[in-house]
Amino acid sequence: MTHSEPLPPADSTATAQALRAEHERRLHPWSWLFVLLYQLRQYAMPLIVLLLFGRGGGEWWESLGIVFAVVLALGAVLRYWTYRFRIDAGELVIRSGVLQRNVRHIPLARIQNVVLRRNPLHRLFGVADVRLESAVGGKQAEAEMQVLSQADAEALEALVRQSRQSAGDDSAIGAAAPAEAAREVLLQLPLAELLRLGLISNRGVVAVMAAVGVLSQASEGMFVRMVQDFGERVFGYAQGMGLERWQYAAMIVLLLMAVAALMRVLSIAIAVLRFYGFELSQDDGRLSVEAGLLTRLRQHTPLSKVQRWWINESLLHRWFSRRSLSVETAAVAYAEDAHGSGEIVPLAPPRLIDELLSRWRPRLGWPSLPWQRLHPLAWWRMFVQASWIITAAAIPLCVNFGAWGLLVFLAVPWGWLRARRYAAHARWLLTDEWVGWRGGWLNRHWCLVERARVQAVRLQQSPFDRRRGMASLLVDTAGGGSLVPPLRLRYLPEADARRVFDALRRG
Amino acid sequence: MDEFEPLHPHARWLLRLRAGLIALPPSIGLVVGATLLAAARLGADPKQWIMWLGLTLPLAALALAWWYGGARYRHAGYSLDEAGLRIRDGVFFRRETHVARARVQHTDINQGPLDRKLGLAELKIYTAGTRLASIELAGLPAARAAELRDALVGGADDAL
Repeated sequence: MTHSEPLPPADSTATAQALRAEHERRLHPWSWLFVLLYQLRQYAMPLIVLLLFGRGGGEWWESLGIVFAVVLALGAVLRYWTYRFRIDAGELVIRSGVLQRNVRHIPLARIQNVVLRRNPLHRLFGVADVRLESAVGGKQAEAEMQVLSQADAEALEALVRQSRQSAGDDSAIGAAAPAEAAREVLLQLPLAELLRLGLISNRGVVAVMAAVGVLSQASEGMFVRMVQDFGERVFGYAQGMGLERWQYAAMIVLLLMAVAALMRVLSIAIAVLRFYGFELSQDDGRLSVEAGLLTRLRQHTPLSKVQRWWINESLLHRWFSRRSLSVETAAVAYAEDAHGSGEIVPLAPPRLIDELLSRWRPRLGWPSLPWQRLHPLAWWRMFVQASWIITAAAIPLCVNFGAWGLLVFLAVPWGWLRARRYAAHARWLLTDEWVGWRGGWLNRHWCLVERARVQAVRLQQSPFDRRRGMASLLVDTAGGGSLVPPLRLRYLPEADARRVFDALRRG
Repeated sequence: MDEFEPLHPHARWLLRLRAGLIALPPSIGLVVGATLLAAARLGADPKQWIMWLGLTLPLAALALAWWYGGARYRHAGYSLDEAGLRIRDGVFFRRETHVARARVQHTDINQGPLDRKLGLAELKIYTAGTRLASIELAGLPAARAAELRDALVGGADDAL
């Protein structure tokens, strides 16, 4: 476990001074290698699949691959030669480009998020991959420095922090957090907790799905052949044993259980890989999260830039008496990226999350909040909607499978139960400073937004809603990619919805 | 309710045209599909089906679009106050959207050929949000669109 020692703390002020004084700097001399490897990785999966499972004989393929790699390498070296950056009057200025020259100015105080990533190779060369994210939407980070020397990376990290402090950016709400001396560790995840995290999360399933997706995309015929091959072998083996029908059934059940268990094991492995040595710490108004077994990731989020708070409690969470807390900042990019995530507390007992939240946002008054009920007919609205969806699903099934398609309607009682339970549990919230939603039934969540963070509000009514005096609200904030569900206050009594709408309108 | 300003009266033509462009292709598809199905399953004469359906269905679709565009015009409206801009839209599914002045990142005004002919303009407002990152208001009088833009942009800015 020598790989997992934490990154040294980022307080190399002397280097920061040097970085500021110097006129122009380049990336680390080895950066071309990392750029090249990164680019090769994009094509690695198809290439490997091609080499391993390709029909063979195509030698021109291989030479084409070599040409391709050489072109990429040249590009990476060129990028290194043309990419320069300097710190100038509180701004990061990046010049890049060969033919198309580009100069980018990023005010340091505008940077929402700093992400440092080090995999074993990075550590071998003493470098780090740095991403600086500002509030500009889109998938690309504002500046991706691939790669900087460890000292430079940390100096840059320190500069961003200093500029924020001098800009007084934390004055708003972040200053409410106690300004204790230095870094304070708030949460660490021991191995037992990582095992729980793996059991609770379904990352294994997600990973398998992704792998299947990549494989089937890379070579469709090959993938189908592989599955058929495997199926036939298993089937043949079973036939050879001459089993009874019930034994078949038992075997299938066992097989499914084995697959499920395997998924969980995979989930645990992923959790350990991603969150080994997890540490959440606070330094003034800034949160730092560091984790990872092989690839170590460190990211910093200023508390004052948090747009939205999201607490999750799935059924499994509840069984283990745990919850998770994630935040969204305006930097959209990282929400959809494997580089990092806003999950600042991947797993913790509810009490700890309560403590952290009331420490970071004391004026919220968490966890005793004036939650309010939905419209009395909210469950009916949900049930009707679910029934429409079930009916819509039944039509194509009936066309394809005849009367068997009607089996879909067995989902109706489930839809009824879910609507009843969901509506009974869901609540909305409006205080002087906050707006929020508590939703879910088996998997519950809380979503909280400061009213000062609201970008736009929309009041929506379907024909059903208008008849029954009901309305829903969409409260839009910055941050959170398109994958993250928006904050919706659903099925409120119309008068209440109007009141919330008007309150948010006035700010 | 009546604090809302209506769109330009000519906007109903724009809305009708838009609804028509959406309704027409599926109705033609329906004609072709129904004809093929009838010919294959019932052994009917395709020419007759095409003639009757081809006349009635697209016409019905256009009538629906005519009504829908008009209804949409009647329900649509906007209201500018000191807080920001409110936009009301929708026929069956009604929605009312509000953007605060301070949240406007930037705006677009665009005019298509029909807009220019009718003296209309579309105002597009961009925020730093996600779902409501851009909000459109079509069918404004061209001069009013410019006024709204000037009123929304150039105030105090604390977009984030």
